[in-house]
Amino acid sequence: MTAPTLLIRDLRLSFKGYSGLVEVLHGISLHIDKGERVALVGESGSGKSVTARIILGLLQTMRTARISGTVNFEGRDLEAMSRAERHRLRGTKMSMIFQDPTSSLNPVYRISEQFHEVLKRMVPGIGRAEADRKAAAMLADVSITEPERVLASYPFQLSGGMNQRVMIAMALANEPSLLIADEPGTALDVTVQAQTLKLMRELVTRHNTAVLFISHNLGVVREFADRIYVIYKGRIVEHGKATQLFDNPRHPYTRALMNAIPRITGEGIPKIQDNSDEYLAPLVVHEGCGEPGEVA
Amino acid sequence: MKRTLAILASNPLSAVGVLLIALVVLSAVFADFIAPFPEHRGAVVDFVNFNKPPQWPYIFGTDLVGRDMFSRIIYAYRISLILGVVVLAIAVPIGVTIGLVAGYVGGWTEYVLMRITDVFLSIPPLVLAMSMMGLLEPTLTNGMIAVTAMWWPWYTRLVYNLARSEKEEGYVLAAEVIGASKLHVMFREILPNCVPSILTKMTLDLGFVILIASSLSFLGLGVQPPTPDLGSMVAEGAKYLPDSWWLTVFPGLAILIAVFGFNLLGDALREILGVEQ
Amino acid sequence: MTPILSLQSVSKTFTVGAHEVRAVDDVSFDVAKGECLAVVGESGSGKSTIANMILGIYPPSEGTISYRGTVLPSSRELSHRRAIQLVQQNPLSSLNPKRTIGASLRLALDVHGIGERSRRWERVGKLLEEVGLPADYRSRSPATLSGGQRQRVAIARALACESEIVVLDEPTSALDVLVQARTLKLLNELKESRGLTYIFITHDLSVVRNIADRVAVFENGKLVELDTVETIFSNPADPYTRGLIGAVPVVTREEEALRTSLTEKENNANA
Repeated sequence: MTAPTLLIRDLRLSFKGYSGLVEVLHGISLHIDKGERVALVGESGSGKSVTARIILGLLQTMRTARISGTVNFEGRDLEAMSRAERHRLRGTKMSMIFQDPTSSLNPVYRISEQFHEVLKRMVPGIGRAEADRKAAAMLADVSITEPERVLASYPFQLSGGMNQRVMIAMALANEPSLLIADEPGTALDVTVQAQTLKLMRELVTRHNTAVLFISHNLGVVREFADRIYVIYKGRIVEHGKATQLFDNPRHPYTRALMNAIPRITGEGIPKIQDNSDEYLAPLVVHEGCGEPGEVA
Repeated sequence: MKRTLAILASNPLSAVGVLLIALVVLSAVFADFIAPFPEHRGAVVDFVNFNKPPQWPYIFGTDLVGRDMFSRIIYAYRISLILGVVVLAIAVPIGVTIGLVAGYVGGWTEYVLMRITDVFLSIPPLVLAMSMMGLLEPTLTNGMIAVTAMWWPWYTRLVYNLARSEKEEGYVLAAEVIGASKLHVMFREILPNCVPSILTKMTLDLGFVILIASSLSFLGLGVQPPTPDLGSMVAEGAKYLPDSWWLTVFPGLAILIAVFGFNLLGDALREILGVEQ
Repeated sequence: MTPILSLQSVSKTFTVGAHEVRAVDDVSFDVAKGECLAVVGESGSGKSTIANMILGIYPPSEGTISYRGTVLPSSRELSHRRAIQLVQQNPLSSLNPKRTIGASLRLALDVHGIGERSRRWERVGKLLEEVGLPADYRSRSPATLSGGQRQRVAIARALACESEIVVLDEPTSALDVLVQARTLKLLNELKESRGLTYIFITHDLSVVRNIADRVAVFENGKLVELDTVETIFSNPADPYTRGLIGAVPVVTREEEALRTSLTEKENNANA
């Protein structure tokens, strides 16, 4: 059996602040198999974004961060890698898509130059013409009809939806085995968001890319993910396949989260009980969803 | 408070700044008790002990008419600090008000106010102060006027930029929708959010005001003898270098300590108050 | 009956460099007292421009806005400001970080001379209690409150002037979903108890479905559809509206069925 693309075991994180240690992650475990689309769902402050930053190796260098537990990427322990090795992984085997595409592209470079930089991370000697040709093919892949015009543009000359597609094309340019998508499309209009999610789903399926999809929006997650982890205050509280979780949410927190979403079928304003003590109930794992190597 | 102490502890240079400034301010305030020869701040002549290198009881030596350098430096600090505080006390309210009005009201008001400010900013500060002092009599008061004239536009610039970005904040819109007056929005809503940046700049500037005032008097355009002034002391002593080195080195170091100290303190303050650079 | 607010052929043109942008184009609609009218559209639809004109932040380029039958002048009187208040999207920015909650709330009372001067502080406490916060939050700074609590303070501020119309500009989209549900509930309760009229600006159709009485859909500055919330969701007339509803991320099979039926209708219309 091959190692999962990502395997996190008992990950803990705390920050050293002026008033002592603040624990952010209380030991979370999750895994993503090759080509799998997995979502990590939680509210703000639940620890979902810091998890992504640890996987990308961005928090390890922070002076105030205390991290324990293991993060294995394709069977290799991130902790055992040198800083340079972790740096090499980013943008090649691992890539990321952010919430706001327009601000995560550099405004002073044309798209073609930014694409060139991305491709150079994989093939350092790649020429501009070669890079442009590759980039044009990839932009065509994300349904951009005039790749040449887009390549010659600056990010601010393109719409938010267009920039988001460019971001997706760049993120997939080096055929990464893991794509981390942190609230993609939240800054976009709903119709554009729906289109980009559909497009992203098609592409990762075609390229067999594993995705860690980080979101607070259960509706968006439902459209995208195969398997879902629900995170609350630094703890995973429920884990299951998307259908299991949406048809039968079992953890009190997941249920509250689900109930809190207003329905377009019109059931009135959701009623929320103030029973947040129950939210700390132990982890619920749905059938057939144990962590690899653990007895379910 | 805990946070403040933690920042000071994690950044030893800030602690040094606090210490240096405490030293400067305390010696200026308690000059009468600290100075071994308080009367030496005036026109005293002691030809027995003139031009002596550092020795007890003249730890920084004596000047050409036999006055204790240490006492004179302490009194010079007092004058420098008074000058710095008075200059800022006048320049800051003027600069801040103009900047607030220009930044918040906008339109023609902004255009006119900022062009005037730009004119002042375009003249090199020392040249502006020098030409004013050339016209006026070189006294402490006129020195303050000259330095004030060159100082307010920097606060206008600072507050103008701050006000323009604060103006976009939701709380300004909220106050406007309620129907609050322009004065209220400027002085009660926007200004409090500019205070940390203004305070930080004031601390940094105290050092620079002292430096500029010293430069003026070094050129003979500032405070006149026999009032002790660091700049004129350096200028006077420079004629007798290198033999009577103490005449220049100690006042020079005194300027350095004050400027350096206020800079470090300003940096520490910036971090404590969370001001973005 | 005279509508509480009425927009007559309102247009707004902005000059950007050498270009003229028509942000709102010939829009007319009435708002009845006590209703919640949702103003829906995507970015660039003109919905925020409409809100700003209703609030008097800038006047319309053409057309008029009337409050209880009186045309509002381009520079508003205090009494008009008092009648129409605002809750903004981002409670982080809408409360002054350097002033206490109490000072921010009291401003409305002071400006409009509401209540006796000596009892205003007490009144601020009552307002906080009305939105479900302890009265002693008066002396707290916004930084010590959670996002949901801050939004409650912002709502209390909109009520402080005893306003009749509240423009809610995406009031829950910066909040977590559990907090959003509680905030919506509060808004609904206040609407009943105070007889408020809401103009609810949002892009979130699932919220609209459950709080609005009527929905106005905007596209590129034009009002494309205005109808009751039931009709908009069961039988939208405009393809743009159908597209918007079809794009809402949903969580149940029933919702998906509704969405699919609309998308099919859309496909048939295109065929």
